[in-house]
Amino acid sequence: MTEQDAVLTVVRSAVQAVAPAIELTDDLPLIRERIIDSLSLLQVVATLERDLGLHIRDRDIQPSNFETIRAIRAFLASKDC
Amino acid sequence: MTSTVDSGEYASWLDGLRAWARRDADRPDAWRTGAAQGLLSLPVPEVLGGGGAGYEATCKAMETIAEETGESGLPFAMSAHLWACQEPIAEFGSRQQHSAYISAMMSGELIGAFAATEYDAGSDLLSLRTAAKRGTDGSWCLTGVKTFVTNGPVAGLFLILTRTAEGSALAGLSAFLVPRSSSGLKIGVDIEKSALPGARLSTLHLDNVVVPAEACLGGPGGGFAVLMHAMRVERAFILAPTVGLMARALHQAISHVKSRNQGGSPLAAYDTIRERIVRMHLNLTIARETIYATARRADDGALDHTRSSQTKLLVSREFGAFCADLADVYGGYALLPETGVAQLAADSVASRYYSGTSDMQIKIIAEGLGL
Repeated sequence: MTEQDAVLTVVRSAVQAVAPAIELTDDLPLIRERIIDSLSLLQVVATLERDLGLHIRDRDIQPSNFETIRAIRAFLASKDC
Repeated sequence: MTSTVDSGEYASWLDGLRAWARRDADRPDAWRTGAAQGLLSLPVPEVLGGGGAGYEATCKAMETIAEETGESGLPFAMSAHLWACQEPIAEFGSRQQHSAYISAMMSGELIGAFAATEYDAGSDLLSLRTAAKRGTDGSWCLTGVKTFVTNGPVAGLFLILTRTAEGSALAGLSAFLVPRSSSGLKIGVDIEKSALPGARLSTLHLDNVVVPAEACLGGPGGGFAVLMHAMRVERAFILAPTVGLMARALHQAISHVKSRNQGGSPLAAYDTIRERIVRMHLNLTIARETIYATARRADDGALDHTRSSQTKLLVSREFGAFCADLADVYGGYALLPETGVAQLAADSVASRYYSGTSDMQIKIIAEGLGL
């Protein structure tokens, strides 16, 4: 498994943990469909910080960065992750 | 002031702050004279003209003021100004917003207030009714009512959380910086309360308050990020003054039990009293070490939301347990105003509710545990 795939796996797992009953796809609109709310987003952020060993600044907790699993992966890539 | 809390320079500065607190903290111009000591610029980065001393140094300053004066109101009000208003502006502000507000806030000329809570919304972000609608010229029109606004009666600047789009709170919230002089902004009367005397609370009425596009902090839709930043820092450090209050109360309680005799012996000779004093000492130790471990983590850039909520919840619980034992040490004297026990107990009750209730902290911590 490449490093990039490993990050994507962490992202999918972090989102699935807050939405266990949802069949996720990488392009499912998480915020618009209210799959993630304000508290569960904090859990996703905490999981990503813990599992990827990075710090996500509050200013980066923007809807555009967390709208889909693909968007989260792209945001993390912009942080060299 | 850029030195660490372990330096001689900081210790010397803290001595000066202690002298100021004894002499001037109860005067009407305490915000301005305290700011002249460098108090309000301590956590602001040097690049913005601040002291760059960090969170631990600022918490120690707030603890010191509370311990020296025995008053909770001023350090609480200043903490609300620092963590829920000045800090988000420093973090999210544009160059123009920094230049308009940060210097004035650090000098104590401009007091900040964060207005998020509403009567029917509580901590439920999706229920926020205060709305901001964009005009064709790019300006925003704010309408709604906020309540429990700390510093509301004295603030010159309000950081106001509004809804700018329907649906998810993550995308639909925006924050605005609104000067007190804005047309249509009305401050309600002081809200009477039993705790935190000296820290003033009010409602805030927004009746078609028009602000320019540049008043938006963190950009349209960025309100959730602004709120999260304010809460991350405020929850971690708003209780720093309580460490000073507990230290002062413990010192006075020890004097009381050594000097007051019961049945021919000082109270300090009774095991039940000694146990309570020791428990209070433990409460204080846990609260102090929790706050400062969290502050050091924040100074290292590693403060997460779970840790902030844990700090708020744990310190408020220690504070409550401390006050329960304190009352039992004084017995009936706890109800006499000169002992300050009932006032401190009221402050401990308040600490469970401001900056997010204990139930809210538990919810955040549970989410962080993956529950």
